[in-house]
Amino acid sequence: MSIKLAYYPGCVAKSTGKEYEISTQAVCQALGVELEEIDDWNCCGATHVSNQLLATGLSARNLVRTKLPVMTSCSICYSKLRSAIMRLEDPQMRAKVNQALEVKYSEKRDVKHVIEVILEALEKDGIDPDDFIVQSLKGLKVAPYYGCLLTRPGGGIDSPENPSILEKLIRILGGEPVDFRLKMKCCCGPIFVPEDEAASETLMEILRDAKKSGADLVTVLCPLCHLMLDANQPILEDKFEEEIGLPVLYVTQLTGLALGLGIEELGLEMNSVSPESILNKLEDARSGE
Amino acid sequence: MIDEIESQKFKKDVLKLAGEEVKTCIQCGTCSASCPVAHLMDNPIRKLIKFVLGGMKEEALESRSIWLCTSCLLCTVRCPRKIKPMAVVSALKHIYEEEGRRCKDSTFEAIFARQIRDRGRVSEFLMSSEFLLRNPSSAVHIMSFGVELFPKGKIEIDFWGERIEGTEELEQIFQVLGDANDVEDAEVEI
Repeated sequence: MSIKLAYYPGCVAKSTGKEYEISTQAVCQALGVELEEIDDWNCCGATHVSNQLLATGLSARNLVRTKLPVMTSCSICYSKLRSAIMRLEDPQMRAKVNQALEVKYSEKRDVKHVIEVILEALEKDGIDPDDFIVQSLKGLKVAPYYGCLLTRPGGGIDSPENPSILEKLIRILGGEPVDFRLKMKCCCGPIFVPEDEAASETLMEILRDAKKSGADLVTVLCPLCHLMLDANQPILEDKFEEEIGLPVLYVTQLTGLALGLGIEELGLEMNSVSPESILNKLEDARSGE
Repeated sequence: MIDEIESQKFKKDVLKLAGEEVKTCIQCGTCSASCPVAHLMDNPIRKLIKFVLGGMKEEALESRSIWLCTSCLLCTVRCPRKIKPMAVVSALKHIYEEEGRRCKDSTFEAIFARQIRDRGRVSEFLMSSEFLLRNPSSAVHIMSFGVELFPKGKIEIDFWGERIEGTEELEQIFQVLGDANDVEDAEVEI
C-alpha cells in the first residue's frame, strides 16, 4: 500500500539544492511514497526572521494548506515547521496567528523529515529492506553529518546531542558509518553571506575531521550543509591551499544508489565534488561479486 | 532617571520575547561553552544574558555576537535552567531591527524578509545581487559561489522574481504579526 504525504520543498530545493529535490522525488517514488507538493507554499523564513511571531505565521500558512502529514527534506524548514507546531499549541499564539491567516490553523499538524520517511518505508512491518536494496553499499565508509537542526529543538526524532538515525540508515543500506567526531558541528551556513571568514574556518575543521575519520564520502540532511561542504569545497581548497576532494552526497542520493537508481535520477552530475570515486568503488564491488 | 526607565523597559521587552525564565539564569556558561562560534564573539551568550538582566541595552544591542549566532540551538538544548538563550539572541535582533538600527547583517535579514513578503519565496540570485550592491566588499566570495553554481544550472537568473499567488495574504501576515522594520525597502532597484 502506498503512503501519501504533502511535500514542502523549501526555497533551496528549487535552486542551489536542486539535486536534493530530484533525488527526494526519485527515492520516494521507488519506496512507494507518493508526494503531493503543497499548493502555493511560501518560504518558512529559515534562520533569518528574528521576529518569532512572524516566523510562526509564515510556517502556519504552509501547514494549513494540506490535510496530509507534511514531509520536507530540508532540516531548516523541518525545524521551523516543528517549532511553529509547538508554539501553535499555545492558545494565545494560535489566536494571534489566526488573525492573519485566510485558512485558520485549527488542529495540530504533523511534519516529517525525509530520513524518517525513508526509514519508515524500509522498516515497515512485513517488509525486508533487501527487497528494495539492489546495490548494497558494502565497503563504502560514510561520514554521517547531521548539522544542527534535524534534531533541534529537542524532543524530536532523535537525540539532539548524539543522534544515530543516520548511522542506522547507512547500515541498513549496507555501508559502514565512520566515527565522525564533528558530526553535529554547525556548518555556519546561516551566517555565511555576511560573515564568510568566520564560517570558512569551521567548515575546514569539519571537512578535515571527516577525512581523518577515513570516510569515502560525507552524507548530509540539509541543503545548506550541502552548499557549505560541497559547492564551497573547491573555494575552501583554494583559500586554504589544501586538497580535500571529499564527495558530499545528500542522504537521498546515497539511499538512491542503494536502491539502484541512476546518476541522472539522483542529480549526481550536479554535485560540485565529483562522486566518481564512490561510483567506481561500488562498480568494483559489483564486478567482484 | 530616564536611563533607568529605558533600562527597565529594555529588560522587560527582551523577557517578553524570550521568556520570563531568562531571569533564572545562573550564569553557568553552558551556553557559551556549547556555542560553535563563541570564539568569534565579542561577548559570549552568557554575557549577553547578563547584559539583558542588568538592563545594559547598548552593550547588548551593539554586540557583534548577536549577528554571529547561527541559530543551531545547542545552547537551548543544553541550558540546565531551561532558558532559551537563542531566543534571547532573536529578541535582541528583533529589538535592534524594530528600533531602525542597521548593520550589514540586519540588512541581509531585511532583504530576506522583504523577498518573502513581496514574492513569497526567496530567490538566491536576487538576494545575493542586492546584498552585493549594498555591501560591495562581499563581491569576491558571492561571485566565487556563482562561478561554482551557475554552470550546474543551480542559479536561476531571475530579474523580475516569480511570485506566489498568496502575496496578499503574506502582506497581511507581515502587517498583523510583524513590525514596520522587519522589512527594509530597497534603496537600490535592480
